[in-house]
Amino acid sequence: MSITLRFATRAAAIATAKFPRATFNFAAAPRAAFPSGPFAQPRFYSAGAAELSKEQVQERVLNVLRDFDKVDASKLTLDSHFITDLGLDSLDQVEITIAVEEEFNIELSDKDADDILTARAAAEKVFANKVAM
Amino acid sequence: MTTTLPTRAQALELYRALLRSARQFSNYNFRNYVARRATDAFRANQTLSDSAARAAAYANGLAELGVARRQGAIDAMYRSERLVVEKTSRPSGYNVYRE
Repeated sequence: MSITLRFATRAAAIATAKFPRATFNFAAAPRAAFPSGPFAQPRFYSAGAAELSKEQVQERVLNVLRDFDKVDASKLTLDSHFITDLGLDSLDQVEITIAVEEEFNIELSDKDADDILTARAAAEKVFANKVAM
Repeated sequence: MTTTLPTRAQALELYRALLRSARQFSNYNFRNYVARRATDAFRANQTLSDSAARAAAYANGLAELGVARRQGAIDAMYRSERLVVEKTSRPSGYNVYRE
């Protein structure tokens, strides 16, 4: 076959070929994103921040209180009252609520902050706050 | 300047506002200074009994709060790298979400 004839045949083949129109099959797309088979590469997605559990929140609140130098760590429990059990005053209470806010990166309302008089109460306010992390 | 006698709740509210205003400073020294200054002043004036002195201290605190908020807003606009002493890693992830 001569060179010119070969080109002519190819040109004719291209001219008559039916190219499929580009379509996107939405139903098939999710399967492509999760390939299966022996050489399939798993695709990892960010799962977002895990939600805090109540126990985690309580433990971190207790850690904040342990770091507070006026708190006697041996007396500290979830239910020990800041003023009557731990011997703190109202200024200390304000400092504790600010420290808790910083620990969880939140801002409590003044009313909520006033109500925090035990570690358990603090943990509950934090746990109720959806943006705590 | 107000010369009204603050209630206990108002005084605590001012203390909370001052400690919160300290947080917005990006500069480590300023941030700690504002918080330390507020703590020291409130401790020093905790037992004030003279009502005129209490009113004056409260009015002074309000004025300082205004200063802290303005300066904090300005300071937050000029962030710089954190100091070595700030880069502590706490087990609870305190610094994880902050740059």
